[in-house]
Amino acid sequence: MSQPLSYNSEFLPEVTIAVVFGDNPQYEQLLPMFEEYGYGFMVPNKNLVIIDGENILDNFNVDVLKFIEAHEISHVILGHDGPRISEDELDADLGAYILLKEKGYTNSIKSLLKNFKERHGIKFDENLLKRVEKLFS
Amino acid sequence: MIIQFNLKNAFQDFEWIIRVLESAKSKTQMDAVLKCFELWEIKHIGNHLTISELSTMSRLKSNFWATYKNKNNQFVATSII
Repeated sequence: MSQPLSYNSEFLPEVTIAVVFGDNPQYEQLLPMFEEYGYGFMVPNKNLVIIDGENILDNFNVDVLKFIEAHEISHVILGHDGPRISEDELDADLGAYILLKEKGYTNSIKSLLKNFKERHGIKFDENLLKRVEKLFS
Repeated sequence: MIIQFNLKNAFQDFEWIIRVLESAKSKTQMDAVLKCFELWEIKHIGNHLTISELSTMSRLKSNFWATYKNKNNQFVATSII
């Protein structure tokens, strides 16, 4: 299982999603990134999102996987290519909400909303979507 | 309607597995897909399903194996050549 699984994002097909497992030689190098960014992160200017495969094997949950994918794709759509700031993370979650809602992934939206206040310090409100919705229409 | 409710998550997870399977480019990636499919079975197939739902799940499993074998043949053929 040393090679990553890779497939095109269903939200933005030009972006590749790579799922990297623990027996991949590069996994140890990626581990600090997973620890810093959570289960996945976007590689700037490479149209590539890398997801921690060990998380899938520990807890097979495609809903969370789709939330991670939608969140990272939102960073791409929003043009975030610098160091992460909290406003970027908020906007990426709002973008993810829009992408997931379009596809009808209600369980993934539940995952997003469950942690929203903890992640951003504010309660989710659909009025917040105005911050980003122009770029997602 | 009840069938749709119980199986909606199973369908969505299954779609993801098929997408990953179709994108696989090596035997090792096929092994990873197989592991994900095993996890899908553990998560979604159980006593909570009705007979009709089990029948639907059975069709999904057959669909997976047909797609898997077809895809796997590509790698076997490639390695022989």
